[in-house]
Amino acid sequence: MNRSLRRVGGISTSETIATRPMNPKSTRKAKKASTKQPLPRGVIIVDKYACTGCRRCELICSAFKDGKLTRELTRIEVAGTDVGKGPNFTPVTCAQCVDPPCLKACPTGAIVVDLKHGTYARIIDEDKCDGCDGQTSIKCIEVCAQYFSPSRIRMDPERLVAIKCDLCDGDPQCVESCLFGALTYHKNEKGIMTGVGGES
Amino acid sequence: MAESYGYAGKILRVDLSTGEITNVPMSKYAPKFIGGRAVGAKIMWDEVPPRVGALDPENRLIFMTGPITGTLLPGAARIMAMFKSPQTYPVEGYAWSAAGGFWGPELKYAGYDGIIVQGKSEKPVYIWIKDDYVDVIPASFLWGLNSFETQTELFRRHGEKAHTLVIGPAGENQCRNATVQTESGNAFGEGGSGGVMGSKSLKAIAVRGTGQVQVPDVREHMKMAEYLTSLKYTRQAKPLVKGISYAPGGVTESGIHHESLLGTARTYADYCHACQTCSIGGNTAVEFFDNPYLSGASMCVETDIYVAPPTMYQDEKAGGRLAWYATMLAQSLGLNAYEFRFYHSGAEMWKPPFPYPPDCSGGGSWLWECNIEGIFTESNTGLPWKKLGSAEFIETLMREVAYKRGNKFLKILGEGVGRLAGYIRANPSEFGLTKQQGERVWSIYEKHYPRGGRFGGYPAHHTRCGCGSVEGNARVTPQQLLCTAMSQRDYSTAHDPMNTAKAPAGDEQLKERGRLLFGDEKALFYLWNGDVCWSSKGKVTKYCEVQAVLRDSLIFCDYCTYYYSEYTKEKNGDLEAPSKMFNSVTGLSWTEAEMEKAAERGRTLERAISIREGRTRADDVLFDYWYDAPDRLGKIVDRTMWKRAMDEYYTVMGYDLVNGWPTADKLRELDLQDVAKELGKLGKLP
Repeated sequence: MNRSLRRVGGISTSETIATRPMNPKSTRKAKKASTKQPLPRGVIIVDKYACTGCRRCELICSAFKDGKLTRELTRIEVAGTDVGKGPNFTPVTCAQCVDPPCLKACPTGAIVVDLKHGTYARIIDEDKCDGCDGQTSIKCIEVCAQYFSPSRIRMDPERLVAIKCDLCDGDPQCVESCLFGALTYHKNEKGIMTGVGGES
Repeated sequence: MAESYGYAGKILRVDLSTGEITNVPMSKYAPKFIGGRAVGAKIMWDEVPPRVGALDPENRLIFMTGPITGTLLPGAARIMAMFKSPQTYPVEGYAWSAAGGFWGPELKYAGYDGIIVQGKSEKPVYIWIKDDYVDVIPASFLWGLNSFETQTELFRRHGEKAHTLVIGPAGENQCRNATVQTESGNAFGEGGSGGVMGSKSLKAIAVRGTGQVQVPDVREHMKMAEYLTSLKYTRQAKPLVKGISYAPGGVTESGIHHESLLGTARTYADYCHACQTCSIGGNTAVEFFDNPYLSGASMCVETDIYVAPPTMYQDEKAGGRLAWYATMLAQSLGLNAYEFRFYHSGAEMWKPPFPYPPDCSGGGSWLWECNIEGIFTESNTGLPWKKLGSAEFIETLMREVAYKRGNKFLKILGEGVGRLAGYIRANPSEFGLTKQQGERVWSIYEKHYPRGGRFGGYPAHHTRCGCGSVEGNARVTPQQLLCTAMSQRDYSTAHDPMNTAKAPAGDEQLKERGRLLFGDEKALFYLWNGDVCWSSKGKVTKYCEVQAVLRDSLIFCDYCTYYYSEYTKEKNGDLEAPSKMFNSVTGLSWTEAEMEKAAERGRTLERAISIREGRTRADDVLFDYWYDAPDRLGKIVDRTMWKRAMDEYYTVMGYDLVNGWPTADKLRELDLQDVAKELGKLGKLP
């Protein structure tokens, strides 16, 4: 593995919040059990110190993807508050894991790699997703929450399907709309070592 | 109405006396009054008769959003509060206040355009709103906590995604200068809304909404948001004078000095803070590495309330840690920073007596000046004057006031600077002062609190300057003085149209804009051929006031106004931005003239509320000092010209010249017949 590729997931602590899983030990376990997926070719990188917490990205996301002005359907979430511990905002979105646990956990095989748009993003095929058929535990959300908090996948409560960031087919609207440079879209044709399974 | 775009469709009414929770249809008020401040004025007119006192249970505390709140439009996150103000002195009168943050959008997502709080709970309570679920919950466990602790506790209960309006100890103790705080850096400052909330035993309103704001066409709306953002977006920090920088937005001044905080804190030089969908991110945010409790955000003048004394008396670098500490102390106690502001003019640190009329003054300056003259001492105020400039001094001052536990002086200071100054003037012997000294205390008050009459009590706020004006601080700007005289609170909520109107550099452009808006090329000039220019100032004042109501009704932010933009040709901005925003979210097709008429309706209604409270033309005055003291350019206010400009203003507003009452014709024109009827009954309809 090219060393420079490996380091993409770990440029600096400030820039990898979105792409760094919580628990490296579990990452190693996951790596052993990996069934190989093509490496993602794009990922959204977050600089939490540039984030002003305006949540424009959240609104743009659901406006663009669902046509609704709400923060509930956003695939990127600004976590944190400015009370008590100082202004502390961190936009978090899907890390497009090298070894995506959600993809493996999905019982219907609805999570696939987006080969069509060339981003190789891990996306949800909404025709196949049945929202775990009315069960209380949604597999992909559960398994994502083991690595990332909050889970990067969420349910659309109206359509009852899981939704997650698909990099807007290679043109992420949140990155476009961020006025303060907190979000950047990192592309690499050779693939990016990011998220679960992406750490050396 | 429920199907209509932009609005959530209903206003929540919570009666704390009976525990009754009801909904008021928004269609009763909108789109006739647009939203926000104008709707609040209508509710106040309908429901709060003049006999009701500010801290009485019958007073309403109304929080309103506007049609654009919660959408993608830049700066569409503001909330307006309307209430009868306990701060207005000597007669309590209607006032409004505004704050940013995320609470307004969250309320919209929960499905409400606003909240009317009335009555008084016997025990401390807070209101919890989760979409349709509304509950009034006992809040004994929150009572006594400061505003940050309260919010942390509420986040623990309801999750960090909830947003909160809270009061601190000052509000609990019904101080007339208490604020309602939302998160860090946003508060309803002037007016004493915190005291009103405290008088209802309401500690907090927490809200979590999972709904949406409906707009007719989301794609078009996104384009509109992008367009308006492109008019206002800027990211460069602009150094103004040494030691003081503008925040990245280039609009909000902050007293925080980066160099003096180097190594201990991260300031907005690399970090700033925004309300929802803000295109500027102009709040100052400071994160202290060694003390997280000092970290937070703040805005504009609030950051520099305590810059001058530490610099002059304690070898503290200007705008350092202590200044920030004072800011955060005011926020955590829930105190109005302006009532404690020690005046300084940018990097120029002046001791009282100040050489020019102060532009953004406050109660601190008044205390300070009385101390310099030897009137206020340690024995009669209970303040450690020898330690002026230290943390101990500002702590004693703010804490004793907020908890109302100090001596008589500090207790009355909690009733507002106006009331304390009036009390000392009436009873100087109680503070060991002579009658002359009592009068002197009052005349120093007049220097910092410009509006005379019976509806004063608000400190100077850009009353005699221009933010970023060419001539610098402390200049006679007729329209600003006129706005101050006419306002129900300080001048600030009308200041933006004028500041931006003169912001474009170059006389030619000012002339062109004057011709465009007022048919008078001199209208926007301060000096014309070396003299103070009084041409068309009445019209300009009307324009300021109406635009301010329009802005506060839609509601967009003071700093995201579109009267000026350095990104457009001729830097003229987009004067039709308000109607574009309104139409983009409501699907209506109002013209700019219709928008302005609705805003004028709101402004006239506010005037009618004041008239009903007993205000007349005799109250639309400034103290003598503000006419007679020369500014930096040596100019004073000519009283003949002043009267002429006031006459012009009353004429264009449709008020009569004797009492300043709205005329029947004007009220009919604005479709306010019910107002005319009631004023007629009171014998106040010319």
